[in-house]
Amino acid sequence: MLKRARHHAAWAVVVVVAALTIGTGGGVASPGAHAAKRKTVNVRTTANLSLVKKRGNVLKERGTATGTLAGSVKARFDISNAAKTTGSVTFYPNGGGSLTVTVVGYPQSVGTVARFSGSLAVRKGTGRFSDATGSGTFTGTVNRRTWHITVNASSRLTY
Amino acid sequence: MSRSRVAVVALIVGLLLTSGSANATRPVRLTAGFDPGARLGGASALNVELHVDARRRLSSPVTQVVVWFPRGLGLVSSGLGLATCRRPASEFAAVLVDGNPAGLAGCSPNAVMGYGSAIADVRLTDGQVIPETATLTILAGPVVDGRIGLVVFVDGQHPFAARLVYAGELRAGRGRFGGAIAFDVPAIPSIADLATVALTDLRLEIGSRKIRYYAHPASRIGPYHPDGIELPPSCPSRGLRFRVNLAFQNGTRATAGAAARCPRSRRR
Repeated sequence: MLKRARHHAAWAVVVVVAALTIGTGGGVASPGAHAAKRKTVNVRTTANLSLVKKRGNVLKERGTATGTLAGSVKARFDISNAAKTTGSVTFYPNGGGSLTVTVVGYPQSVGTVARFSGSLAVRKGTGRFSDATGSGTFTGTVNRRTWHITVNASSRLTY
Repeated sequence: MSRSRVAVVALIVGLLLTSGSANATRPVRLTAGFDPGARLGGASALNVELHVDARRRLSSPVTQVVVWFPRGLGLVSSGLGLATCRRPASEFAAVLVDGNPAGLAGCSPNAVMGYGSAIADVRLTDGQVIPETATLTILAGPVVDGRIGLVVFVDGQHPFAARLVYAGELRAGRGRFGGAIAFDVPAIPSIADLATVALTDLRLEIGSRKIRYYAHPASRIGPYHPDGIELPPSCPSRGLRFRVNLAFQNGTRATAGAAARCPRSRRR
C-alpha cells in the first residue's frame, strides 16, 4: 500500500516538474521566438480607390492595392480642413491580416485632378500585423469630380 | 391694448433699438449667409458681407482680411477651383496693374471661385475722400507650402476704373473653423505719394451661381455651373459661426463674428 503511494507520488513529482519545465521553457521561448519572427520591411504600395459614399466632408472609399500590401483597401477621409486632409486607410493584404494607418495629406496642386502628399503612421493591425509599427510618406492624385484617388505609399513597417 | 401687450411691444421695440445701436457702434461688422433655397447637405453659395466703419478707422486702411468659416462647410469638396490662375509676383507687388487688362487676364474660367463687390475710400493727400466702387473676382491660385493660393482681381467701377490684383490663400482650419479665406490688401506703391485706399465695404459670394465653368475651358465648350460650397448635413442651433480678422496699416487689429442662419433640412 505504502509502496504504491510512493510510486504515485514519484510520478506526480515527475509530471509537475515536467509541466513546470515545459511551461517555463515555453514562456521564455515564446517571446524570444516572437521577437525573432518580427521583421522590418520597406513597403511600397499603390492603391486605387473609388468613392463609395460622400457625406458632407467625409469620403468613404474602397479599392485595391498592388505592391507589398497587395489586396483590398478601405479608406475614410475627412476633408473639412481647407488646408489638410486627415483619415485612415486599412489594407487587407492577400496574405492575411489587416493594417490600418492614419494619414495626413496636404494639397500640392488644385485642378480637376489635384496632387497631394503627406505622411502616414501605423495605427493598428490584425493577424500577422497585430503588433505592427511603422511610418512613411505618400503622394497621389484625386479627381475632384469623381473622387477617384490614386496613391503611392512608401513606408517602413515592423511586424 | 392690454397692459401685457403694451409691455411685450415695448420689450420688442427696446430690443430692436438696442441691437441697432450696438451694430451702429461696432467698428467692424460681419454678416454671413447662404442662398435662400439652400438645404443642409446640399450645395450653396456662401455670402459674406463686411463693413468697416471708415470714421473710426479713418487713419488706417485695412491691410489684411481673414474670413474664417465653420468646419462643416465643404470648400475643398466643392466643385470650385478646377484650374489654377497664375500671376507674376511683380503684379502682386505692384497691386495696380498697368494697361488695365479686362476679364480674367488669361486665367481659365474654371479657376473662378467667387465674385464680389467692394467700396473703398480713396483718400487723397489734400484731404479729399472719394468713395470708389469695384467688382471682385476670386480665383484659385497655385498651391504654395501646402496651402491653396487665391488671386483676387479688383476692377474699379467708378470714378477710378483701375485694376488691382491681390494675393490670398486658403488657411488651415483650427478649432471650430474649417479654414479661412485670407488675402492681403497692401498699399499701392505707385500712388503712395498721392492717395491711400481704405476698404470700407466688402461683399463676397463664393460659389456664386453666376460662375460658369467649361468642360473644355480652352474652347469654351460644355458650359455648366459648378457646385457651390457643400453645406454640412446638420447645423448647430445657434447657426454656423463665422469670424473675420482684420489687420490695419497702423498695426492695430479688429475682429467680428457672425452666425449664418441654418439652412433648412432636406427632410422637411
